[in-house]
Amino acid sequence: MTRPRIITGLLLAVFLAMGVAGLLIDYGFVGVKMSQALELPGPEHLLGTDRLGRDLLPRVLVATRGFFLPGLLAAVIAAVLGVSLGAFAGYAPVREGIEQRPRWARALLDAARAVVKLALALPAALPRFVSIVLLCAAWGFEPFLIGAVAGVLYAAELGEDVRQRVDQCAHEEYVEAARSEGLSWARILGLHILWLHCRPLIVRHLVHLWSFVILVETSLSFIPGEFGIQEPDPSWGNMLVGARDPALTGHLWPSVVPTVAIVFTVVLLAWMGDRLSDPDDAAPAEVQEPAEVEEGAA
Amino acid sequence: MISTADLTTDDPALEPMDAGSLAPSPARGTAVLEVDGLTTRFEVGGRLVTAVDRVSLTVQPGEIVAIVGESGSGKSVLLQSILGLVRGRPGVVSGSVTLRVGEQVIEPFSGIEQAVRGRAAPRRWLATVERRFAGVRGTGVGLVLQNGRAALDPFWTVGRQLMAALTDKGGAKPTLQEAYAWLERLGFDHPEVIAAAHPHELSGGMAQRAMLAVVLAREPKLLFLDEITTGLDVSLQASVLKLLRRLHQQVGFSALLITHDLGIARGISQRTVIMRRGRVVQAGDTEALFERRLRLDPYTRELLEQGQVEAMERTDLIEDLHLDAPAARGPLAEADAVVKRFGAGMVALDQVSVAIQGGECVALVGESGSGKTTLSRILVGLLKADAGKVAFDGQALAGLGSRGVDAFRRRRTILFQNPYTSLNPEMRAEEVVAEALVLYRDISPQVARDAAEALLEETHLGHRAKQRLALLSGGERRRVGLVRAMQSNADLIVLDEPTAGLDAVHRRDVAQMIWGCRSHKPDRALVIVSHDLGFVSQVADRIVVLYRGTVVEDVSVNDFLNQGTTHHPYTQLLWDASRYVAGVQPNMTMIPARRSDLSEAPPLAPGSAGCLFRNRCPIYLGAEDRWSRCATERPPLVTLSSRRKIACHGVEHDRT
Repeated sequence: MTRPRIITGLLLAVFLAMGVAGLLIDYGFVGVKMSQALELPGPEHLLGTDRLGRDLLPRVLVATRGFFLPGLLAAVIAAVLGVSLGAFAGYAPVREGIEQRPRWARALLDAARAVVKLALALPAALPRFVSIVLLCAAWGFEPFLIGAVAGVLYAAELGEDVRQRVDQCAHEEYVEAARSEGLSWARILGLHILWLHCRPLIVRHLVHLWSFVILVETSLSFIPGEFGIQEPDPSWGNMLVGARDPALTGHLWPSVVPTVAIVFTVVLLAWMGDRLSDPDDAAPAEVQEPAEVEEGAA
Repeated sequence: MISTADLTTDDPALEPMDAGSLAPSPARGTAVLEVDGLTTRFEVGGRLVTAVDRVSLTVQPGEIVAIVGESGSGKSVLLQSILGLVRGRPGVVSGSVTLRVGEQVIEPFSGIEQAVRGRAAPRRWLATVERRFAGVRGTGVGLVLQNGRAALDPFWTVGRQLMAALTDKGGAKPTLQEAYAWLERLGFDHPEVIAAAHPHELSGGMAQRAMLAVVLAREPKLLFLDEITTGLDVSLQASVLKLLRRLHQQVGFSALLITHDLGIARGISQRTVIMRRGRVVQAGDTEALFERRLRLDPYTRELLEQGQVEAMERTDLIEDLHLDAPAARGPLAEADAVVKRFGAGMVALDQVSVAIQGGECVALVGESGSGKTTLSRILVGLLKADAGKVAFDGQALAGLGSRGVDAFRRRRTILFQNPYTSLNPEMRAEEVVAEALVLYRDISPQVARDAAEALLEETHLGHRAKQRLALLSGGERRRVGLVRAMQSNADLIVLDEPTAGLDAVHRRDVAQMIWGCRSHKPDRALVIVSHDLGFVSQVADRIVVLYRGTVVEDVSVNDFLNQGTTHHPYTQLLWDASRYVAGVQPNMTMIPARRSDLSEAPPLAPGSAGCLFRNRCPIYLGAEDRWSRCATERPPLVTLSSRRKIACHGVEHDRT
């Protein structure tokens, strides 16, 4: 194990622990104690209290409910939709030689691919955040709905990247070699292309999607009005809103806690996404010697 | 991240070098290049790998020193280390290099130990090394790489690059005449045409010579030549080596030549250094080495023994196989009057007929562009012939239904030529082999993985089993691919260039694998595509020589090796070239220069009238009147005996 891997693992564990703790904590409306308002961290309240005297520690954890599972939902939707559509639209290996499908079958497949390709390209033209706000304005601000919509919108972006990568790999000679040996298309596409070559790309996208869901949820509940999670349920966004008035009177602490939580989580996910998408044992290019035989088939 | 602990625990296998056999040559202080105890390391997957291990060597003025080693032995990294071009971390960690070029004396790594102090060298160290090299690279030392076409600037004409080189050299403003003079020195007859060409317009051999011209024009005192002939076919290798020899006599540079081929070292170098696994195992005078006047390291001895092309001992095993081969059945794979065109005008194969019996091992031999790879791909159905009939086991490939195609696919296997693109670089070596075992043997993945590891161990690749292919060298990848292909139980196995870039010891491994693969299933047919006549005459039963898309000779190996046999002049040329490259034959009687300069008459296109080989043919050239038939009439493939067919008016004439 290298040091970056250990750090990645530890930070991931912290993130998961926050999410799971948020789900497990039994949190009710209780806890308003005006006498303890605006306390700094102490033995009784590890992270201090807000302007209503509520303990900030359980609130900051419970707030993860707004994005933890919805983000997971978004990732699952994006992964299933994006990878399958992208793989379908991208995998068209060269067919030369004796093996040929009937012409009509090829035409049909090509047409289907073109349609999917177009469908993957279209959502890129939509501003994602605005689309989510508009859709949620029509259907209601449920965290899971936000997650689902984000997942579908993100699936197009992921799918397009997967499509390009699969398309590139499908024209590689090792795919031709594997096909000529009679390996099944499922193994070639699933193992040789998606698992070995697209996995880092997919993981990076999904991790970034998760942090996108956090930002959407936080931003929505930060906007005053009927958006996002409403008081008394906590969210990092509405905790920030609630901390605004005390901040004006010099009590900065209640705004520090959600800010640190947001920055920590989003930066952590972005960093993790980049780490996970790097091959773990990349060699310096110098160790590899250049190609040796340069004559081609033609 | 590297902890100090990683650096201090050295590989336990390391032992102090044998000082006796590696004594530096006496004239220290005048040497152009002195390397002392150079060590280069890389961090790979959190582990430190020592790529170059305490290497010491010297190059005297006017001397060519060859570094010989298998691919992955660290010879290229050594060269990059000397030139300060290593970019992996931590890179050079100890030792010293002294370059004496003209008046300048450069020690790029002096102080490296202090800078490194048991940890990775700081990044600013690279800047220090860069600064010390300022003004030396190019004019003081020159570097010629394996792929000339890739090393030249694709946007500049050769002439412009030459002029830039001449300007770098300093002095008076260069003239075009000087540039042309350099091209002429490199054997181009019409330099103005070459000077106006962009690198992509040149063939591989021409680009290699153009690159040599650009490097030599700066008149470096010391040349670094990194596998400069590896990508070329055997006749081009011979002509480039010949040229280099002549230039060395004319210009008198010193050079450090890197090669995997001991024969090349023999032909051109004064001293030879043999490297294995990052260490120098043998160093000494080249002649003394070949005459075995030195105390030889076991690896060197093995290399020397395997490298002898004359020693064509074929095992009895093969003879037995050959006799037992059931010849009564029809051919297993058959191509009849096959034509294949690429694009508009390019004819790759022109009326080629080959029949391969079960149990037979047939070699397809020829230069690049002769159509041998195309023919092999047509035989296994990867390409479709434009005309003619291709059949497998009596059935035409064109008429196979989808079920027939599936059945056919299981009955044949092909090892692709390029090990970089034809194997998934993200897979681990053992996975590559295990996948084939699961596919061919129908065993569980767990069993396959253990078996794969054992197979890799047998072929000296055990230490690579767990690594991704992206980390393996080209030669190692080729061997992994070969191990994979050999697991097939197919009736027809096609191996495309199985030995390209491998040293003599590994060529021997490949030959053994091929023998084993045949004895395992005696009625199996093998097709070997290669330009190495020496190798194929050891493993094949029959040799089919192709020239520009036509078969010029089809001969059994016994007849081929028989001294008395008259061959097609092209076969003779290939044979001479392979012996010249192997260092066995010091002089080439025939000039193998391929007339493919842009300036020369273009190579005769397949489909044109007459013999395609006549513009390189020693029988025809100089006696055009006598052989007027050659210019008008394509020589047919005439059956001389049951084991020999030749397409040459000259040979046919001699017989009658």
